[in-house]
Amino acid sequence: MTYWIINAGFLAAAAALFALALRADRRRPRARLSRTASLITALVLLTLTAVFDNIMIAVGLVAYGDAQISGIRLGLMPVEDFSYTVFAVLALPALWVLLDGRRPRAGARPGTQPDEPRPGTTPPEPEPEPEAEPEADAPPRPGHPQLEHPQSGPPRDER
Amino acid sequence: MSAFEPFAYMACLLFSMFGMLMLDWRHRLFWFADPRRAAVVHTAGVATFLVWDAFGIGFGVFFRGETPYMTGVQLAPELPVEELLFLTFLCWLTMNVHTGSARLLAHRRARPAERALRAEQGEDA
Repeated sequence: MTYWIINAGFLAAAAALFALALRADRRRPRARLSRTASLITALVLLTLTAVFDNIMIAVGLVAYGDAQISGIRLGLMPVEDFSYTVFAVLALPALWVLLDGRRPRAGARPGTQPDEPRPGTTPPEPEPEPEAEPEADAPPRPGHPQLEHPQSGPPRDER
Repeated sequence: MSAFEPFAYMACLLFSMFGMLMLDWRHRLFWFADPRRAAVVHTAGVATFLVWDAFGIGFGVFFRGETPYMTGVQLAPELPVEELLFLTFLCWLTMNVHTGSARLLAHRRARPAERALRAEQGEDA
């Protein structure tokens, strides 16, 4: 039980941080914490954890005290090990978003935050590259569309 | 080959970290998106996990295993240097996947509306 008790404290902190980031979204519509992205991240990371933690234990990189763990294992890994992954998935993106102090302004770099565009607003420039962020209230970067998409024709007027 | 065995785990970790670096750099996901925020998030994450590890080690929950694949260099009792690399990798992976997913989702949501807007303005899609 020791392992669970230790983990509970950290997980509670992560959940609190996550909730804080979600609540702060209202004040910060341009830098919202994407819950769908968090879900995807959780699925990917938990799967990788299950695979690699088992490998690491099988290879002998880490060992556990039997008295301190619940004994519930997924293969070789104690299920408590998932706590580290859950913490990372909840706390890190939340902190990242909470630290985002940028305000809408000309020249703001696209592609620097996990934005979700608000319904009804669209990015001013078409940028199929994943690094391009739809920032509805920032003017497009001059020159960028021509560099990335020479086939898109004459440049659009700046708004 | 057995002279390289102690570096096997570290080599895997460095390889994985290089992958994170490349993804981050190519798509400007984390450090290459906002280095100051990344510095705070990354160090806070790794520091928290190290404290977590310290609790676990202190209470005997886990310890370094018997393996030929680690260098044997320890930052603290039962805390191999490879663990620091692993935690750095874990935090980087999480942020890369999260930001990457969020951006892909934003793109998929933006595109139909953006296409409609462009059509409205008389441009080719």
